[in-house]
Amino acid sequence: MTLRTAGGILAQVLALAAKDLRLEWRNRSRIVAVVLFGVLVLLLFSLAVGPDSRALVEASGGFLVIALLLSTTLGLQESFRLEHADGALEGLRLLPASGAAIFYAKAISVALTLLLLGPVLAPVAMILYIGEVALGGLAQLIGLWLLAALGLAAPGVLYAGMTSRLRSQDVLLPLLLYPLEVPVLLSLVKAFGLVLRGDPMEQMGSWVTILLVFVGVYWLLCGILFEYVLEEGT
Amino acid sequence: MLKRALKRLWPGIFGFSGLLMLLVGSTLALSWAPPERHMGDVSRIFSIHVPVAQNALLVLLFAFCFAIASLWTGRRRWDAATTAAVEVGVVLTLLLLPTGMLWARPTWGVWWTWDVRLTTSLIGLILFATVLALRSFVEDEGRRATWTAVTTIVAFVDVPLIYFCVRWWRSLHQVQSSPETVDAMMVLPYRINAFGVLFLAIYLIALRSRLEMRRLAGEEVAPPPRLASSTAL
Amino acid sequence: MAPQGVIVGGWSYVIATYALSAVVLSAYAGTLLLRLRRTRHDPSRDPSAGEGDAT
Repeated sequence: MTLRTAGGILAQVLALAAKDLRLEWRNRSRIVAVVLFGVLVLLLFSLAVGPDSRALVEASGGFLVIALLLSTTLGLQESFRLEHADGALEGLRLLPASGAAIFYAKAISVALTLLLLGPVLAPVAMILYIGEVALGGLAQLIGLWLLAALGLAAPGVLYAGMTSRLRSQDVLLPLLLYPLEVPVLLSLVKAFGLVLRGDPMEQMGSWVTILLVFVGVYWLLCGILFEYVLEEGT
Repeated sequence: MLKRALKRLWPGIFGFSGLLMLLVGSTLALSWAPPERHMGDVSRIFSIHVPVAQNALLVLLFAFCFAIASLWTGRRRWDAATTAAVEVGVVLTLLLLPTGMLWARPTWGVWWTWDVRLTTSLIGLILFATVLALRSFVEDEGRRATWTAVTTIVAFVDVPLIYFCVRWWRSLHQVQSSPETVDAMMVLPYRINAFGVLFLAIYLIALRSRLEMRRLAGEEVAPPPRLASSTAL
Repeated sequence: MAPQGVIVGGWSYVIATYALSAVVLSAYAGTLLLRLRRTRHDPSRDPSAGEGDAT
């Protein structure tokens, strides 16, 4: 690939991502609803465990990850409902943009939208479960969430793009996405736990490496496969 | 004439020889092979558990290759083969988990533990089972073929993880042992069974793929496509 | 008089494993053969349709 075509694709991706983000911004009430849903899930977990603060601290990383995952699913479904309401995805296929460019643009905009969940949910989880907010820990949590959001966005866009045309989308998207995300979620739970409870053995590096590997694999693989999914159309 | 007969009969030949090998291998494993030094008679479970596990991963690798061929060519034959290999892989994984549990109970003392290999195997089972579930939701043939192939390829990410996880993380589940480190009289029944399961799996894939071809051809004949789209499993 | 650390017995687990494997594999093969036979007897379908390639 020459430098010029690479630059062309990059320009396409950026233009499409900007379009997607503008759309998300116009529908910001949806984003607010998704974030509120996440906060609600965090609250429900603390109610489910009860006032035993030690159990809450033990499981805090897992609760935060589940809340983020549930909001992510909701956000993905909302984002693609928009795309299909007026056949917008079909319109995009008429443009001289490659399937990969459309995929990466969508994945970037979804990842950026998901990223908003972190700065809201992480401090709420810290207050509810730990009882105090440490700024250093908060920065680490948000940094980890950046990686996880990338890991969730790529398969999420691929599968939401596929299932959004089906009537049973609400069941199928989690069914396809959750088992695939287990390695990402598992390392995220471990890493969150280390931030929230302390990391005496310095294990953080290995979990971050696993996250990075899966982000890389998913972004590459889903980018290649999206072209075929798009070809099938509706 | 001979070629035609061979084309019709080859799955049966694989099936029959696989069955024969499994009978011989299992009989040897149960009677002729000596009990292992530490695990005693329980080690005989290995001679069926390990072949099933290895062939499950191998069949899923077939599914991955078929899926790529299906995406590449768009031919119905590869779509049927992908579906068949995924289904046989799911059946073998479904067998792999309880045979492993029957070994874990007397040796580790528990039926199940959240060890990396057990976890990744269970995830693999769910991932490939959802591929089959997805198929029954899609009515358009071309789209169903593409989605089956795409989900199979993505699900395959888990397979190397199942294989290598015991080396990457320290785990309760033991690392693959090489035949040199195991008693020769225990290796032979295991080897025979390994090829037995492989041949049987090839037979099952061929059978299932033929069934899927007929089903897809039937969809074309029958005017309402929904009538023929009932899927097994 | 087995030495320390050796698992004694366990034959029931061994038998259960082999029996389960036999049942699962033959049951799956059986359903496949049954389903294949059922499609073959359907008169609306060409018996050689399995070899064709329509795409």
